[in-house]
Amino acid sequence: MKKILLLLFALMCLAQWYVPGMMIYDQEQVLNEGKVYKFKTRPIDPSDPFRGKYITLNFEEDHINVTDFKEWENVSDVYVSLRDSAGYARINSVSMYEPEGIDYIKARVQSVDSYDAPYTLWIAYPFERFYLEESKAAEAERVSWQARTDSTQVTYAVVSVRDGKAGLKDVMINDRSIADVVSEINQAQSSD
Amino acid sequence: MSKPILKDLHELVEATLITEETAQKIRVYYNQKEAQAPNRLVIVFGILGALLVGLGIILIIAHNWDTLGKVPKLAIALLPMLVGQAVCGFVFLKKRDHTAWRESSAAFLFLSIAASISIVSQVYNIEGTLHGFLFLWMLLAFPVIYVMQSSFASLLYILGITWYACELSYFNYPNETAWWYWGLLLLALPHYYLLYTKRSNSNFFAFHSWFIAASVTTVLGMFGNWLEEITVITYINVFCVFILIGQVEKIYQRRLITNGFLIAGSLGLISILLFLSFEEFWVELSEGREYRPELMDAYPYWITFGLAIALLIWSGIKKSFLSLNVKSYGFIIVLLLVFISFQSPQLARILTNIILFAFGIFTIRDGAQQNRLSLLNYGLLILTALIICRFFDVDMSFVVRGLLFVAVGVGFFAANAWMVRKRKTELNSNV
Repeated sequence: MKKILLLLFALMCLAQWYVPGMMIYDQEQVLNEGKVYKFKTRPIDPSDPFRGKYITLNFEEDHINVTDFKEWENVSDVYVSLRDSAGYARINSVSMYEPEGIDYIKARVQSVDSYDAPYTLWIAYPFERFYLEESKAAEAERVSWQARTDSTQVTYAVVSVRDGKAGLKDVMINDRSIADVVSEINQAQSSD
Repeated sequence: MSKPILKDLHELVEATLITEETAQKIRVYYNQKEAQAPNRLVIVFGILGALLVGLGIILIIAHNWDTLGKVPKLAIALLPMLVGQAVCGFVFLKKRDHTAWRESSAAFLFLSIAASISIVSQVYNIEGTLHGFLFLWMLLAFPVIYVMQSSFASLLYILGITWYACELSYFNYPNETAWWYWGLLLLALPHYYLLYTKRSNSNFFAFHSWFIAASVTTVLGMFGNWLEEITVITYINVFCVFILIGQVEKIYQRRLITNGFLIAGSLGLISILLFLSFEEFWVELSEGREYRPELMDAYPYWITFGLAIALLIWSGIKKSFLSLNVKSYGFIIVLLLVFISFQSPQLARILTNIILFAFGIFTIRDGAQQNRLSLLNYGLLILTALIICRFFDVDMSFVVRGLLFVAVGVGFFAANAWMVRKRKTELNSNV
């Protein structure tokens, strides 16, 4: 009995390492070998009981027009094909099937507008959370909203894409990491 | 030496009720018993310590230290799990018989799994839903219950899967039925059975009864995509299952407060029957013709019904059908009422009132027979609740209503006084 339990203990430990290990491996693959896209965004600031403070990213490119809304009504996952336009990611097309020969992301269908044609398909990307240090999340949201009202500033997410998977590398305001921008503001406030 | 009997030994010897030799034997007996029993306080503080440290680590990690790079962050994230596994390994090999060690190391490992998945998600900004996270956590954590033979891990697990089902079925939009909850619950039941066979006198066993009853009651509403009325009668089946489990010999023999199944089942059944004693439920049920095919299709209802029938037959054969608590038959009665309501909702309503009244009377009778004041007063409370409910919807004169209340009030006094006098008489006759 003890031997069986010992074996079970070893298997349990392996499984407990396998899951975070695979998460790390998958993400490292996407981040290191994936193609980088910039997604224009506007963040808001909620928090998670286990993972702490994060900003939720609301992407500009999160919808596409479709001709027949009924076709998409009961679809939960879609494949979003991407293209680069003036340095930022644009949705090329959305399909229920895995595309070939083009960069794509597996995403969820948020909703389908069925009021008036053209109908809109809303997409939820798997990288809508960006975790920040506890003290920085609220400030990051404020800074990015300021940036939004200022037309000279652009907020975007740097996303690595590989084989349908995506990894969020950073969130930038005018080519500077949002964490650095907030750090600078916090330092300036504390020295005042 | 905290037992009251030990403090009275000197007095008993002086009164020549027992000899000094008997007194000494009693002292030795309790001393040995105390030495053999695991120290509850050490177990409680051990678990509490592990719980606080584990939760503290989760909170510290949630701060998300920006100054740390990716690798140190990951190392810190996975370190608690490594420590948890190492301590569990040590306890498994060297201190398996020490409950405090087993329970606290298992609790720590249980929480450190959450910390490790959390920080990896945080470092890589992996989105993931909360219910997905809880599901993965519970799946990785459930072996801890069996490998470490940890009842506290089992309780944490029941809490975790309940949270998972609530997230998915209640707090998430759009709501989904948390089917996996039932599979996850099944994984916890062998441990409950082990406690039943080996440690049915332990506090952990009593806690499990309460936790399982509360968990199932909380999540059963996940089947709300069927018509509301069908969910209500599904609850009746489940409460009758609880009442039947609560009458299983080893559970029933213990103090009432430890019998979570019986208390939750009985209170749940009576509350729903009180709700059914109003007109609206039966009118709704009879007006909607779609209920009949819907009821036939509602397999959660029929599965729980089948479970209740099977348990009823098993309990009836083991004890006797007549000795079972009359509320155990509630689910069959309610199904008959549902069929009656298709013809006449008024009749179903009247019958519900009569049944509730009968349940109240039977409970009072049981209380009197078993010489239990709590049960006797519970029966009287059922009657009072029934009368209060009728206060709202019956066109009855104030005088009649007033008289009814006075009658039940007098009933409370009379029954309690009778019971107290009966106890005194029995005590005197024994002396």
